[in-house]
Amino acid sequence: MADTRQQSAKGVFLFPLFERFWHWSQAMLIIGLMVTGAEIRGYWAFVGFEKALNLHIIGAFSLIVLWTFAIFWHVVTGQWRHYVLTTKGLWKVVLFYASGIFLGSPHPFRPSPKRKHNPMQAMAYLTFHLLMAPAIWISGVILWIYGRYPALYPDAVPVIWINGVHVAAAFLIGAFLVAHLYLITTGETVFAQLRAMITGWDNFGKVEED
Amino acid sequence: MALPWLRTLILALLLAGLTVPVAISQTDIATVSSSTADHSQFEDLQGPFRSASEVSDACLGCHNTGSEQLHGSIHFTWTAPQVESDARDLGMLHVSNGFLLSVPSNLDACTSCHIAGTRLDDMAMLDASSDPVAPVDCLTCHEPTGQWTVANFHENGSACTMCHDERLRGDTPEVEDLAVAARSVGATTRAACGTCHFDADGGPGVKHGDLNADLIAPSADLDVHMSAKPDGAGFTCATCHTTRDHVTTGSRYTGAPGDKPDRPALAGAAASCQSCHSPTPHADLGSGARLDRHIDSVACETCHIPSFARGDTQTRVLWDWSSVGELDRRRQPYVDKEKDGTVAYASEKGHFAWAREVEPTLIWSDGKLVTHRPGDVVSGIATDDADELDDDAREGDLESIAAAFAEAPWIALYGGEPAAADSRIAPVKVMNSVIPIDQESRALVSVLLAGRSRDALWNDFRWEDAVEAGMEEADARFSGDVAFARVRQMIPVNHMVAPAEQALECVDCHATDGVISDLPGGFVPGRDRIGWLDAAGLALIGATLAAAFVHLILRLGFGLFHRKNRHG
Repeated sequence: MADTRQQSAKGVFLFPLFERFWHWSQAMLIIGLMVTGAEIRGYWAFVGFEKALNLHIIGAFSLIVLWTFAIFWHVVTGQWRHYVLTTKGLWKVVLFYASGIFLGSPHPFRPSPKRKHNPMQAMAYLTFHLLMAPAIWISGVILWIYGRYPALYPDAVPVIWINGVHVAAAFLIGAFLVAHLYLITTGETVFAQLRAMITGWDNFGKVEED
Repeated sequence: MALPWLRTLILALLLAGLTVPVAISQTDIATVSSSTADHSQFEDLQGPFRSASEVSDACLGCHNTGSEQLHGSIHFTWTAPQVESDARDLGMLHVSNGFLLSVPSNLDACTSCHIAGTRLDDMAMLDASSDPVAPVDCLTCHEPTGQWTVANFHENGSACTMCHDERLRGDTPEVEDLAVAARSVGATTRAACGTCHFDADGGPGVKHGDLNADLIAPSADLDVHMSAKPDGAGFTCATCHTTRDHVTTGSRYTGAPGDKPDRPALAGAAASCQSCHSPTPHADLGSGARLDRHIDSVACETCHIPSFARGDTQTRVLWDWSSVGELDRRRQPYVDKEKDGTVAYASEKGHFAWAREVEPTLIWSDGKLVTHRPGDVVSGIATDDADELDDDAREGDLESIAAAFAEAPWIALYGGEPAAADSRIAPVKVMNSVIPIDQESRALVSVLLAGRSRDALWNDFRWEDAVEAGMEEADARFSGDVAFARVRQMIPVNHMVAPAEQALECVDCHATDGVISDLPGGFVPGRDRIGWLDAAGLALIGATLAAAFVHLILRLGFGLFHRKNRHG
């Protein structure tokens, strides 16, 4: 895969095609689910309640299918290792965002094919993968069963709790999205990280881990 | 007026306008019949007839079980069968209401609308096992224009005020030739049923918002079932309210919104949506399966009758009996009218409020009506003669009325536990009334309204005497002192089904401020939520945005001093 052309004038090749496909379709689906979910919740009226609900269900199942493929890909290619938690260099990164970034200090972390994400990033993404995403899809599937197959739903569990988990996860993901959209502008240049996620090439990465 | 001929012309035009509904020709409607028996050619019906009972005798000569069948029907007995929860008879004859209050004390006035075709002053005559038992009058239901019935109860000498808030000038309608009426007989028509049901409890549209004379020739917008083909289905009342042995299906006492049809459509509809419509009525729609799943908790009428009294006729929503008896400067009873001609006050009846296009009140209903009778104490009833209704309520401002009656107990209400298997969210018209009660026992009372007796309310406006006389008729105790109390009553809403595209939308319920926002039970996405969760979630997103913004400002500010490449 990426090994044959890791380093060139364009920088380092970090994100193979599937990873980019996964990232961007997930991004679109999540934004779509947020827009339709907020309409179902009554925050606005764009497409109408019924259509919003239908789109939300279609989007949600598409995302679950996409996640199934993504999990398979992560396991088979070993890419899951990028999300392993580490404290090594964590504080440096935190300090960088708290002060160094204002003073023009260099970023303490440079991505490489061995380690694409800085420790803070890895922690945030792992939280998304293991906490927010499962919370929202499991609660969402239960809510869908409650509506679609009411007989299967256990009456002992107040459905408003499931709804609460779903909405709480949605707000967390919303906050995640806001932070994510801001932090990608903190690369070498404002659009450097966006560019890397589109082309796969990080101009400022390096071949080997520190 | 300077021009007497102009005055005459205007008067003539007005009279012509008033008689328009009367102008439906009897033969026009009779020709609709597709029966193999053409009654217009029957020798026995050629007349001449001296009285209506001679006409009925002619009918019963062939229809020889007619009397027997009718004697057992609710149209004759005004009594509905008892239910498990109430060992007393139900039905109009027995229960109290917030309109003309109760029947037994006004039997001879009320029975001018009875299918006996003659006024009775003895309740026993409504019991077919007693002697004498009242006769039956076939023309009341089977004369297709309804004009026979209108003429009959006027000629019978019914009390004008029973149906008219204002004494109208002019002649009472009459049917000149009973033989023409006899030869016109056929299946019941909307007009014939409407003679009583459209003007129930005191005039056009008073009791029902979903049943009034607008349904004689309605547009499809008003009622998809009753408007003429091809826009509508061209139903008469009896298309749904089918009869077997003259017993009519459907009443406020029978059936429940969640009932399976007790008679499938093949055997004739039975006055419920589901007796004709399948359990999956939305199957042809894109997300129809989801709508169909609402049927377990929402009655069809809830979405498909978005408002009632949608036509020209308004419906009465407030009746304040406490202000009865005000007199004008000449010490005479008077009538006070709104600009649009509706009566807002009548000395005989007190204050009224009317409304058009009323959104029904939604309740959980299992179809079991809880009623009260004269002599019953309604739990929670409070005398409030010191606390008069405000002008906004009396003028028909629905919010003011709702606020004024928010605590008022129900003299008639449907049972039904929220989200229970046999309950559905169903629409009702709420009638708000200020009614007389026994000051001491707080029991509902029966009032003698009309008649020759000086005790009758409409003769001398003395409540104590009128209630004393009324309670005697109802066979109930009365302390001698009258007070007034606010009460409410639920009237079912099942008619005026609107075209599908006018049905409620999802967000009418699936919203925090929707039409079921106050209704407990179930989980309704968009309505039900953990209260603090959204506030906390929005705060989290707001805080993240604020943090990003502050960080960005600092970056830009410091950036003015550090322009070098970050990784050297």
